Amino acid sequence: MFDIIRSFVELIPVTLAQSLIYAFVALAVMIPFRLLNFPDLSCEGNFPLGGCICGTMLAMGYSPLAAMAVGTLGGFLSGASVAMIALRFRISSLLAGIVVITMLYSVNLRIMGRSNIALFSYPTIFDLIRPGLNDSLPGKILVLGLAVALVLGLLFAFMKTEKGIALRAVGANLDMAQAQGISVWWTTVLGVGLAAAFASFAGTVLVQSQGFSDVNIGFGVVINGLAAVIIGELLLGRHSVARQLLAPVVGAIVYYQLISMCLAFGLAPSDLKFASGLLVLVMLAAPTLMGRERAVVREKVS
Amino acid sequence: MLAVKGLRKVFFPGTPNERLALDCVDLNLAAGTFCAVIGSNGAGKSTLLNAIAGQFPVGPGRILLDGEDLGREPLHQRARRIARVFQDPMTGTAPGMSVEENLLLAELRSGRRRFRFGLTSARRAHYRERLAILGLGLENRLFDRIDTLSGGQRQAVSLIMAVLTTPKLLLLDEHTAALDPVTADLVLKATIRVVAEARLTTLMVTHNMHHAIDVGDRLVMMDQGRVRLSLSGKEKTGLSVEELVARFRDKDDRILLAS
Repeated sequence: MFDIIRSFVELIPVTLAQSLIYAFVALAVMIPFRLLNFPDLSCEGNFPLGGCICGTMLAMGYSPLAAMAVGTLGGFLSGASVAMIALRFRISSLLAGIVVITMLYSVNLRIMGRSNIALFSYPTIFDLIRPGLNDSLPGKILVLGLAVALVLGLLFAFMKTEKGIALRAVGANLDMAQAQGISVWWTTVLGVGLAAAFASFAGTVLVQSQGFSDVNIGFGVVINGLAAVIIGELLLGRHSVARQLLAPVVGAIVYYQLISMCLAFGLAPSDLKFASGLLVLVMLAAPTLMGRERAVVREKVS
Repeated sequence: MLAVKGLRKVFFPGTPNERLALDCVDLNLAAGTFCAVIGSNGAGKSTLLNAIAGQFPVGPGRILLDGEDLGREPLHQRARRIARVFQDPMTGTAPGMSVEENLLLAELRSGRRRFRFGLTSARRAHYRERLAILGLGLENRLFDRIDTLSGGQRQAVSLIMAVLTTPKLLLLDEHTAALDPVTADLVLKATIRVVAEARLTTLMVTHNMHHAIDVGDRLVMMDQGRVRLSLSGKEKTGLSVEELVARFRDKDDRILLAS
């Protein structure tokens, strides 16, 4: 028992650093889902897209900043296309997302030319901030924590601007938003694009942090992101913009520690997906199980 | 101001459910006219309002606002000049957002939304002043989420939202029908007041004969997608509910004769 606790405690900082990267993915799940009422799963493809673009560009000798900018932009375009597909062809946002994820797998392989690239020998954004930062866990946690705080601050400020309030109106009531002169098309396309940009940004950071890029890094991130959002909302609620924005970050931090705990208790890494799925299922089922909401036969999908 | 010319709308064309909702509707409203629209269910009243607002494409026929053909201009662009209050208080307001945020969205309806902080103290003061007109104490609830307000209060806020900036045209689609009699009366009185204040050109659909006669300076009765009766001036002011109901009957008899 003591060994289990010790191995878990030892892993806390590593897990924290990891969860700060995945916090951006959780944000990318939350924004379309909660703020735009347009559930989008495409971060499963946008996350590796950012990683693949960034890895390839680093290997070609581009600066980490350029690689990250292009990687993030790639996610924006991919997210915007999910929204455009769903709106133009009137198909469910979930289905549009799945189509794009599938197509992105081929795109990602095309970009990299192979399934993975080692990046140990190239300078990363961490080296750019301070040489040797990538090997210093406390330094990395500090930098990532600041990045998360900065993004949250900017997002919070944006949600209070005229444009941000219009974006939230689209998620709250489509009819009302249109009647107030807001273009639902542009708001959704730009909003989902922005969210997807966070996912691909996380991808660019992850490949630099772990020192290699792989087309499969996205596998299962959407369920992790969803779990983080749900845990965060359970802990913080979602009754204000601040809480709604903070929830995915707090949720990601807690969720990855829970996963780490499962590993410490001897769960095989390959069983983790099942555990994550089960966790999300229990969280989603909680309201009906506790009888707070009457179960409906079928939820209306988008 | 508003001119509707030979407007037709067919729902589900080419299917067994095909239905002629608007059949050559002609309507002219001078600037500052407050027009009540009555008619039985399915007469095309709401369809006419939705067509003017741009909810769906229409044709043939034209809708002109200030002499300008609205054509295929999408709903959200028309909203710059046309304000609406819906029948359902839930449709007109954004839940989960505060009263002041809802009002801000309405204020920006006709303008551009920028990357700048929205709720300034000047705006808040303005919103308080406007809400105070209602006499419901809503000026003290700016920060509350709008879904914590009652249906009547939400509808009252919707009305203030619609007239916050002066729209070219105000569309009221049975906006008091979902409210209890006392609240309905209150919202209607507020409507009369704000419309008169800004001399708004207004189309109000109603099922209430008293409202149709007492409110506004024009009365239009629709039936089967057509304007059957249009009264203004003395003809309208001298009208009694009995006479108006008789006109409805008259219409029914004609339908019987025609069938």
